[in-house]
Amino acid sequence: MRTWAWILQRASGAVLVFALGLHWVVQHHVSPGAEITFAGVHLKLQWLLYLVSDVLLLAFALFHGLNGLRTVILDFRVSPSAAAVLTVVLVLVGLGALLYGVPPIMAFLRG
Amino acid sequence: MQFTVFRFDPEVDREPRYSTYQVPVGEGTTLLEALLWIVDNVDGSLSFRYACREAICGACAMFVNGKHRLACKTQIKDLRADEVVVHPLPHLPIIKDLVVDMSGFWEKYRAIRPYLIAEGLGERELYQSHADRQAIDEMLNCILCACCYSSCPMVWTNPKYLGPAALLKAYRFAGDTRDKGGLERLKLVAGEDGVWRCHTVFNCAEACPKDINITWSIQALKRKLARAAVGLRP
Amino acid sequence: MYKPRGVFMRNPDLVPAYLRPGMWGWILHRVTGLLILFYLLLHIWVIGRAAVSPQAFDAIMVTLGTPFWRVLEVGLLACVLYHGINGIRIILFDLGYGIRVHRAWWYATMAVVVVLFIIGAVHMLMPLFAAVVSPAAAAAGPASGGTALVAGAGPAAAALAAL
Ligand code: SF4
Ligand code: SF4
Ligand code: FES
Repeated sequence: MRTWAWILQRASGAVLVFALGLHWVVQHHVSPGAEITFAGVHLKLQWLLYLVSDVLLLAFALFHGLNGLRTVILDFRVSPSAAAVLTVVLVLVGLGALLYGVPPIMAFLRG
Repeated sequence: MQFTVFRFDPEVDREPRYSTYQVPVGEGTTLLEALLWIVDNVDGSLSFRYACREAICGACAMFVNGKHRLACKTQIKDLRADEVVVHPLPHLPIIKDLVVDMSGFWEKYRAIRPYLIAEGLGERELYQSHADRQAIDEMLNCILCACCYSSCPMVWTNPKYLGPAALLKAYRFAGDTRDKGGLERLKLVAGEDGVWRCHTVFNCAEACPKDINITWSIQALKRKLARAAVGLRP
Repeated sequence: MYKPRGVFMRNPDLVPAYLRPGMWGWILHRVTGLLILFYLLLHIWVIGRAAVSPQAFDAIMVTLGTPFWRVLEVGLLACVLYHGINGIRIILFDLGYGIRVHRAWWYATMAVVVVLFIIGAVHMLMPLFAAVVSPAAAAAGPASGGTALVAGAGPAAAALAAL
């Protein structure tokens, strides 16, 4: 399991560098000159690529961030049982944030 | 030359202190010679470890003028400083003065099974090609001085982490073509307290007085484990 | 020669001047990573609150267009750039590249980060400077770049001009 946490941290990191680049390009260069408004975001989200990159960004960033936090905490002396509790808590936080974060993106989509 | 030496005797002192000595140094005087001169001529109560005085036993590791060094391998002239400030290895419990408690270090060294796991020992010679032997030359140079161990930030915060020296030795055997430890050996370093605690900080490689790039070996172990995890040949 | 005192007396290798490039790289990676995680959770929360209606969203976006938030955003850019590019360095180490020349790789990483940061920061702060130097020019619209950020500085320029 520790091996996979490490592999996925690298993989999600690589995806994030790519997705963030995409996010930035779309945000700032696809519709130049536009102010950030609700209607503008609504329009952009119609573009499937943007939607996918935004949801990907959210999911991968959450995983990468919380898995990273787990590593930081386990770098200190933590008993195996406390580590197990920590893992469960972080998974719940991640799922909660995802559930909280996806509907707003969908709201933009509906307009 | 002025020498400022860290002193601490847990039986007497409540806080560490410095002692200052004026020591005559010449061309080629080593730090170990200077410390011995202090003991012989000024202060017999100063404690430190040494044995081989030629950089092969690893007993005389200390932190000198901002760097981990072996006292016997360090020539005072090479420090290019007007004063020598000597500390014991940082972050390890102090027994007295420059002598630190290495028991944690040795425990972890033992934990990785630091011996050849071989088949057919005693029946025939275990052959190894020149190239295969060269591949582990670097790891064999380790003298177990604990400079790397004391420099690693993961060791500071997590006393259960195996640490660079033990992991280097783990690769010394995992990378040895004669060793038949295979996956069993890799499992010893695969847990939370093994290679995954290493975050490629390179403090160990910077600290090693034998110029061993320990991180290279730890990375090689990580790659072996990752390959095994995804079903490739380690 | 410096004689460490206090906590440094026992652990002299923590004296900042004695820290090595790899150690700085690691410390920065940790700090930026934790800051970005904090930002991410805040971001999810704010957008979640804002997206209830178009009016609420646009109102918050106007607030975030003020100079104070712009400057914070530049800080975020620094964190993300460093964490991302240093992350690439770490992944390359994990694939087995560059371990023998780790010091040079850190300096290269820093060089790339600094260059990209300067480009990005100038891009993001240009409208603020433009507003200071000549509010009229800023109000006239984006002369260079033509990015959403430059245009988004309209309210910021107005706010600064009002000061
Ligand atoms: S790897 Fe280097 S620093 Fe570490 S114990 Fe061996 S010789 Fe000492
Ligand atoms: S490279 Fe790994 S083992 Fe070496 S000091 Fe850094 S974290 Fe410790
Ligand atoms: S005395 Fe043996 S290594 Fe220095």
